[in-house]
Amino acid sequence: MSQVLVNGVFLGCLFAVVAVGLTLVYGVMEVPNFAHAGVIVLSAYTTWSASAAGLPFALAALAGIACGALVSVLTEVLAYRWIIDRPAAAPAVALGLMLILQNVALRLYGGEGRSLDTPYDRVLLRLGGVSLSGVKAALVVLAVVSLLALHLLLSRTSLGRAMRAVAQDREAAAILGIPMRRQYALAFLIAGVLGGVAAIAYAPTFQVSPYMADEVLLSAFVVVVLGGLGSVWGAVAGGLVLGVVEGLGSAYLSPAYQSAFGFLLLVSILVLRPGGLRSTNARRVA
Amino acid sequence: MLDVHDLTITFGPTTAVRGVSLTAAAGTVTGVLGANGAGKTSTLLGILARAPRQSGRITFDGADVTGFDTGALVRAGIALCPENRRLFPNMSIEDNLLLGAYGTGRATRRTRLRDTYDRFGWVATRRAEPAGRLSGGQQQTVAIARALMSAPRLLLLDEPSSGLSPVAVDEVGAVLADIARDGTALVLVEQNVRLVRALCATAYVLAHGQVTASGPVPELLSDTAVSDAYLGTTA
Ligand SMILES: Nc1ncnc2c1ncn2[C@@H]1O[C@H](COP(=O)(O)OP(=O)(O)OP(=O)(O)O)[C@@H](O)[C@H]1O
Ligand SMILES: [Mg+2]
Repeated sequence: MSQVLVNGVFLGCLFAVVAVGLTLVYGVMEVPNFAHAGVIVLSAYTTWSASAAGLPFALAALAGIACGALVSVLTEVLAYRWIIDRPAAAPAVALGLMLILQNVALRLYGGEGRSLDTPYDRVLLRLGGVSLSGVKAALVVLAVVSLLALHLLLSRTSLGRAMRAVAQDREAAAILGIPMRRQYALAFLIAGVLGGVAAIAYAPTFQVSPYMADEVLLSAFVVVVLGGLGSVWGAVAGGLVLGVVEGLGSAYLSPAYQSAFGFLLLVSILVLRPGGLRSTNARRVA
Repeated sequence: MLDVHDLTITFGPTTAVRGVSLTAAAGTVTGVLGANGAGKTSTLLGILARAPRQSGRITFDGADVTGFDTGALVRAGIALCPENRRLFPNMSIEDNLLLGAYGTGRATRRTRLRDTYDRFGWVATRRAEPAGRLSGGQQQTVAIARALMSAPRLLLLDEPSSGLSPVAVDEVGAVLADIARDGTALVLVEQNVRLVRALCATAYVLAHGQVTASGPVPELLSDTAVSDAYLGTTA
């Protein structure tokens, strides 16, 4: 049982990191950023190829995160920025961007899966009857550290305060002279960094491929809706809940339906609490 | 201080403001009156580069600021206290205030925050509360205080009395008089004639996006045609 919970928490951390990136972008710009999956894929490939070229893992990981940040900002500057006044076009543009990024990966690296080796591959942590692989432990640590860093940024800095303001009332923020474009780019930059963290953290347990992030993206969208659109803490809580539910479901019912449990949870929550777990009337990033 | 010349603003097919010119001097309150939909809000947003201008020249403190974006206008010394206050309801009062000083250094923000708390004592005691929890009058005070956090020399106010009790209106009026006394130029969009009478030396009347009358307030408001046109729609 506790092993199942630990695995659920592992999954939950992964969902939370991906979902927070999505919800931040949604909060600030109202875009359902499917291209996030492509950002994760390119980060993972960058890390893989840098480490295959002989770079130490830590540097390869940094290269992957930098790539995620760059690609994410590029999607905003080159695409989303131009449709800010036409929100109806956003889902189509987002899907198109996702396909483009996946095909870039396919073109550059081919379709076969690659395995990403890490220095902590063979580490196995044991605590009582519970065991956790080094890879999973690293993911949990990375997730906690990056979410704490984000929390500090949003709550303690002038930029973070401005980002929360933009998410709550874009026009009121603009009237105060807060530069919107910088806020949009910053939201995508943070999302890209989180995407890169997610990529290097979970690629070792799965495989690096152009479609590696599809299922995670779907789960993360479930989490975003669960947590209330635009709510960062909702996304963290929603990620953990979904991770544990999927973990329990696949352990005690059937692993084949792992993602289905998530959607079941989503549908039941939407029926019971249409605003998400943390129901807010106004959009917020906090 | 402020000189707006031939301002025209259109939203798609609608022309909200056509050829409006107005001036505002330091240390005075200039009123802008008009019925619903006359173009008052659009005029203020146009001055701050938040509405699409088709024509118009904006001069502030002798400098042409027509091409400035909103951030540059705020840094130059223009602030807007918007219609319906537009506080960030889920954020703390202090965060709301600090956002008014966005782009200034940390030390400046701290000094201005302290000045704000000196001026509005009760705000300090409630600074950690979400702004949405305040009453309408309190929210209006915080909205004005937030606009002052950018240390403006020109303050644009869009119907600060709307939705407030008569007592709260008087309090807001006293605060505005105080700000003008410090030398700030105020442009006050209002439907509350009593407040306009109390504060404004001169005023403009807008109808269908155009200035239909302007001049010293006592004469302007005693002109029966003007008060009929204006009061008729607000009664
Ligand atoms: N964003 C917008 N898009 C389209 N039309 C607009 C927009 N803002 C204002 N308008 C139109 O411009 C005209 C002037 O509106 P404005 O809000 O400036 O009037 P107002 O004098 O402030 O009215 P009120 O007293 O109701 O606040 C109206 O016809 C309004 O419908
Ligand atoms: Mg108005």
